[in-house]
Amino acid sequence: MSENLWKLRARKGYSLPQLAAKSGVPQQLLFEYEQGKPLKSADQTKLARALYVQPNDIALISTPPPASAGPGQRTPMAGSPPRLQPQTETREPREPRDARPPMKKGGKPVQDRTGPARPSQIEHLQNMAVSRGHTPEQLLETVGKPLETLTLEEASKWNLHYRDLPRVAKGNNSSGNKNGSARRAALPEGLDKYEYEYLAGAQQDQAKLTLNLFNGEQITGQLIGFSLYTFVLRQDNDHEITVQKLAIAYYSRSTAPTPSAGATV
Amino acid sequence: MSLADYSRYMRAQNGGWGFEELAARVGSVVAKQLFQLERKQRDVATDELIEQMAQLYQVSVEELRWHQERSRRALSLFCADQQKAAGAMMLKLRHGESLTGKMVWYDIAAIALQTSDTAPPVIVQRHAVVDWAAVA
Repeated sequence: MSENLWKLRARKGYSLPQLAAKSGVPQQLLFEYEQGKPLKSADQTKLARALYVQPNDIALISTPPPASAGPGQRTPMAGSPPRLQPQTETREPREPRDARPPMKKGGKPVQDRTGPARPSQIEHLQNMAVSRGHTPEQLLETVGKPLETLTLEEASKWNLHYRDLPRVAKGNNSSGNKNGSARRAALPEGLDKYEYEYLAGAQQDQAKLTLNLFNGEQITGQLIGFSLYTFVLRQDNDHEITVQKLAIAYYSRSTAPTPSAGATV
Repeated sequence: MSLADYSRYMRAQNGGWGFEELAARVGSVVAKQLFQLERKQRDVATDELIEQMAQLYQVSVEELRWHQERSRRALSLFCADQQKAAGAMMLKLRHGESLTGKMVWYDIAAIALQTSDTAPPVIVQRHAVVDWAAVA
């Protein structure tokens, strides 16, 4: 048997704001539901969860409560002694909208960009300037004023400026080993796309590959599949062979024409 | 070839010891360091670890240091420099063969080398490269 929403709420002893906070249904909407607005099924589920009842226990259309049970007020429970003093909610007057700090979408206040730069920004700027081959004096000269007097916005701007400058390698050794430079390798080092593209192209062209293994053996065949670790070749005698990449020293496309695909290079 | 790759290679040459077999020989702390070195290419090779590796695999410390200097990163930086300079390079492979040519591309697993004007590029597996040098 379903019951009116306001009655269930009163039974639990929740005020409208409390139920709104527990269920996630806006307070205004709750009020409207209690006044007879048809309940949406999603809200019905939320409210049922908050009130520890089954969704069907809540009437889809509530009969409006008696005048005393308005929003924000508790409805006296049946049999409970009447309150001597009505409970009223006192609120601090809200400051006018213009006086409040502007807020971002997520509710965080927008940072004042004219305020002083953070110490971490200044430290980052100094480190970047050094990595770009600038001495502290050159940095000061470039910025045009003491770093401590930079604003948040200015510090951001200078950090971006130095970020876009090319790095200067430390030392003269360009090998990047333990005894030399600490610079990072160029991007392709971190990708396997070139070999992948090469193999995908060879597979699409039905090209023959010649694999040179560490033991001196050569295997030639049409590439019919590959993974990170293996190649699958179809040899001229129609045998398929899977070769571990770790066994391969190097390979190349065979210069001999492939019968099925015409001339391949 | 980097020390990490060489360590894996030597382990394979010695029957492919697993962690427990390795720990039984050198202790679990050193075994863990070796696995870290091999799997994550971490620079954990202290002097002490290199000496223990030398004893374990019966190789000289100098040989291990030689590999330590030829890290994967060093090869990547060399490739980056060669790509900029568009110069020829020589790659010495593990089985003794050497290939010379101009680099076409390189990535994490392989280096494409144009060894002649007429032949298609040769794709050299990076795990096969033991040493490298620029060719004037």
